[in-house]
Amino acid sequence: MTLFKEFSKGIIKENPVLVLLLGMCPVLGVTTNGVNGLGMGVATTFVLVCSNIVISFLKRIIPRKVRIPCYIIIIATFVTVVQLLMEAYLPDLNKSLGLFIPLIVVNCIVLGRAEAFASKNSIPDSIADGLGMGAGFTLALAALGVTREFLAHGMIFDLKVITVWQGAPFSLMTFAPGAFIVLGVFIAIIRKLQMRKAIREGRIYTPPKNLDCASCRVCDIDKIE
Amino acid sequence: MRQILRLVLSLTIICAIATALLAYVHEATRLPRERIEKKLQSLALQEVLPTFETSEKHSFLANKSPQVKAFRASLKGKPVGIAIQGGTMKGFSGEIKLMAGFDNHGKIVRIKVLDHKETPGIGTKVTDRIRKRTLVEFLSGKVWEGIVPNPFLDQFEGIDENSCSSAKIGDRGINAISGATITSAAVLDALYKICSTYKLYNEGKR
Repeated sequence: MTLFKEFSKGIIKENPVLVLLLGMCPVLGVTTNGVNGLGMGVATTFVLVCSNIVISFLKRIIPRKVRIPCYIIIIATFVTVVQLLMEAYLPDLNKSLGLFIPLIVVNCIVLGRAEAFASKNSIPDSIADGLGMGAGFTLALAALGVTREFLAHGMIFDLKVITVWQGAPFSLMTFAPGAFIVLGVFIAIIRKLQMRKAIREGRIYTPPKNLDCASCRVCDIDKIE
Repeated sequence: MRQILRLVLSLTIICAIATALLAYVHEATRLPRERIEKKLQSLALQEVLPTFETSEKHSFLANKSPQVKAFRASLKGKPVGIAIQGGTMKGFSGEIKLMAGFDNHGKIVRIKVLDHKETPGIGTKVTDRIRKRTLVEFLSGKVWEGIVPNPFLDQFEGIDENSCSSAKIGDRGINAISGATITSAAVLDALYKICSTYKLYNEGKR
């Protein structure tokens, strides 16, 4: 049951894009259409799960004071290995996902989950967390991508739905400002739903306690060691 | 002091293991990666050149940088054109590899981006040929044949090597893709290099 909880929290309650606001760079960059959003999401989920496993496995070996550089090295190595293997043995997959791989190396969701979750929890929990966060990321990116694509070109997943829209009548949506606007609307909707749910249950809405800022222990680092 | 040593040592060990792993995977996957690159190269040749039967690597620029490659194609023993592959590091995130095919009159047949790391949805508007279909076409299962048009890459079809090496964005009818100015300029930069290589080839022939 707890495994499922770790998984499901990433989808709405602690959605990495809409609640934690992590990984904004790929969110704004690649969500020009639904297919790209989906591709980025799937590639990130894969790396996230694998890096969570490795970090969780090595959590007792890595010294606390140099943990961030260690995580970066492990994630970057992992991403490069995945890229090389994909180029060599899965050329078709590489054609569709290969472009997203270099964007993941510095994606702060991967580093954020390593620091906030995998470094403190067991391997099965970390896998569930990685899968859930990845699913939340994928859903948010695909939703953003489809919305922008539809508003800009009248297309859904690269298929033209409104054929009378030639070119890009609402071209603002294809650029970064469009991504900010759609993202803002999405965040507002999610927050409103969460607040309404909280009021119905008779409490005041507070963001999840273990958000990444709250779980940052940089200030206590000398006390821990 | 002992603690600092411990930190340095553990970071060094992790880096060393990561480096060893990367080196091993790089070597182990080298042969399959080269094989796939060769396959993609021959597909690209068919796309950028007129119909041909045989193609051979041409080595008139053997001492130039390894990035630049040339392929001569012939049909029934007669040469039909030459394809030149070149690259630039000026892309939005790293290298862009480009191939251009020239026919016997020195005119560009078609250009194709072989490899790039541009942002999906932005830079790929310049580099990739993506088929756009309508929902009706998709549901009726209509299949398209032939090469997908790309408004940026198609601008260079039919121009000769002289007007290619003097082409500028915003001038002589070369339009950049809005939102992807850097990628557009990088593809043009790679094309300059290819055209100057083609000039070298022509001078060598005379």
